[in-house]
Amino acid sequence: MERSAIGPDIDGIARALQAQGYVADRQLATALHLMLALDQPLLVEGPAGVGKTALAKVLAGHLGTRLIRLQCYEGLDAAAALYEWDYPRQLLRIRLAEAAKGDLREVEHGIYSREFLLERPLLQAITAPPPAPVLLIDEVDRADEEFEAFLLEVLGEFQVTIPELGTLHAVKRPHVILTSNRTRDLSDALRRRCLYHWIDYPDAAHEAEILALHLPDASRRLAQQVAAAMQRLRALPLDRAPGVAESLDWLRSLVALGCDALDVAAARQSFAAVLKDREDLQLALGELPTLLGGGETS
Amino acid sequence: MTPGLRAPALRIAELGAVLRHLGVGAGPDAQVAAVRAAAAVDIEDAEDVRLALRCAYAHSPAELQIFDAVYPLWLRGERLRPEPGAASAGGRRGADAADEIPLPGGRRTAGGAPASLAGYSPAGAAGRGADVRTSQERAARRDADRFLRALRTSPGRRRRPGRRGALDLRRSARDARSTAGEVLRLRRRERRPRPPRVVLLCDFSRSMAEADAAQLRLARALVRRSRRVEVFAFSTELRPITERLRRPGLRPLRDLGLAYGGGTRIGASLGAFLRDFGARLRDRDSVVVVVSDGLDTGEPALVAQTLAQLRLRVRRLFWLSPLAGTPGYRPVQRALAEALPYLDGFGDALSPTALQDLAQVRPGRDDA
Repeated sequence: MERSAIGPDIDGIARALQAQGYVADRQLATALHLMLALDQPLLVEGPAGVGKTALAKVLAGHLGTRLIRLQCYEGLDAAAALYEWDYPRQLLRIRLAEAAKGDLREVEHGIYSREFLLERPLLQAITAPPPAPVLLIDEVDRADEEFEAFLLEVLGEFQVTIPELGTLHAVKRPHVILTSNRTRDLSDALRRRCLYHWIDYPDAAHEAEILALHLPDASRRLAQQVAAAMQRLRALPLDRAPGVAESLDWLRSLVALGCDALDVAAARQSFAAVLKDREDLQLALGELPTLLGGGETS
Repeated sequence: MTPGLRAPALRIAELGAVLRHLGVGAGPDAQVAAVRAAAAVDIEDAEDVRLALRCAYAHSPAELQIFDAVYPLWLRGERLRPEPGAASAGGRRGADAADEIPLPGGRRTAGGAPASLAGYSPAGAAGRGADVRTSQERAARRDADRFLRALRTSPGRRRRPGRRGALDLRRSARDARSTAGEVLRLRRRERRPRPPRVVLLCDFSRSMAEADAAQLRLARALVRRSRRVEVFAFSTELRPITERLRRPGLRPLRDLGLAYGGGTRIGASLGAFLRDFGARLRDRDSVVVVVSDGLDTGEPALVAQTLAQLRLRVRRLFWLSPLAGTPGYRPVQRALAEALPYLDGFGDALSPTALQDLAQVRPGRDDA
């Protein structure tokens, strides 16, 4: 085990993420540190819009490596996630070789070479040259259970056997981040394979910090007002609670509208950036004065 | 590992054993991961060690809660060997694991009495917090599975080998090897049947209060089993509650932002569904299930009218009533009497096989 990466590295990770505009608390930085030190996948769960996907991006940035993303969806299967042969090109090569009366043995060898292999994200992650890439398996809860089982196998070995080509091993294991919105229960086996981190909505101070980091032009006070209103908004029984992305959009809209304080009129004008469901919008509009902290505008 | 870390490793393993008895699935692999995690941070830094162990041992929000409650006790070195009774509760997976791990001697509280895990009743921990699965819930999920399976429609997006459908170049090419490289038989992949689109309309009027648990269980089982399920609650108005049901934990209604309304206006609610969400009834491939006792304060004729419209746009229309199981029951509630002619099936909402019983009803007249 590498013993060099100890203690200070956790601060280092938090600082590096901060430099890229991602505010990570110590638990998250620890989780990332462990994921790198132990070479284990990290499962990140939490509500939509708290920055689970962004995490993988900034981690790749921090490590100075490639981000390979596998977006999961219902019906995703191994052919779309792992590899497929380029059949049309293979057939073309055969026909050309026949016409040219080429050496058939050579053709056979040729059409099952890497040149004719279409690498999908999982295989890309395995065959990527060092430094090890960051592999983001996004919204794994959207994939079917069968795919989850298949994923477990790949994450365990990081090798793939292609009958015509042999077994491909990862030179260096990719750093794997899985995200889930919990729309479906993940299997226990997959959970156990991973380190686990739960990202919740940030608290007001934390969120104001994120806002200030991303939109340094907006006034500090406006950012704090947006962050505070967000806290109250998320406490309402909304169908789709707004995430951090919505906070950013909100602040951006307010700046674009030239508002320097978040009052009822400004909120009304800019709510389209925050709530994207008719019922939610009606509910929140009814509560506007309370949302803005008693309705005072100063 | 350095010999100096041996004692901490045992302590960390012990923590894992305690957690396991509380229903956290901390198996030997997690114990190894936890020890490695602790070794990967500065072992002198208590907070970092805690955070490291936390993300190695706990794998869901519910487990995080248990971890946070147990950790301070463990850190103080209180003797946390679970009491014998607790073992059976937590231990779906190897309840006797704690006995395999040699616990360092003398780790007792000053008084010598073993500290109990206050606040963690074995019963509460058995279900691992939010992922509680009672036998009733398991039955409900089984029921939902059978229902979804019986009403499967094709085509789905996943494919499997078949006689029709898109060319399967991979298998065709493989097969061609046995005929000297000449492709003689084309292999195809057909689309696999997929679960039906389901719309569940749940009555949350006051008269349904007693059927609350059963109704929510049913809705949650369906939502958890398929992404193609949508649930709406109605009493005097209609609200989509699918996303809320997808979140973990079987929540009481007030968490769903609902309260038991006074009366029900079934006709108006169904009308609201058609108006606002009718666009989701695509291609007549949806299955609509109304859960209601049929005690209506609205206009009964409106029920008939909206159901007639609904019937034209769905594949199957079912009705479940919590009263249907009572001996001598007859569907005479006015709204229900109006509804019956339009239904493909009518059943008991409280039965553990409510849904699958519906699915076995023969196709209605509209189906070929």
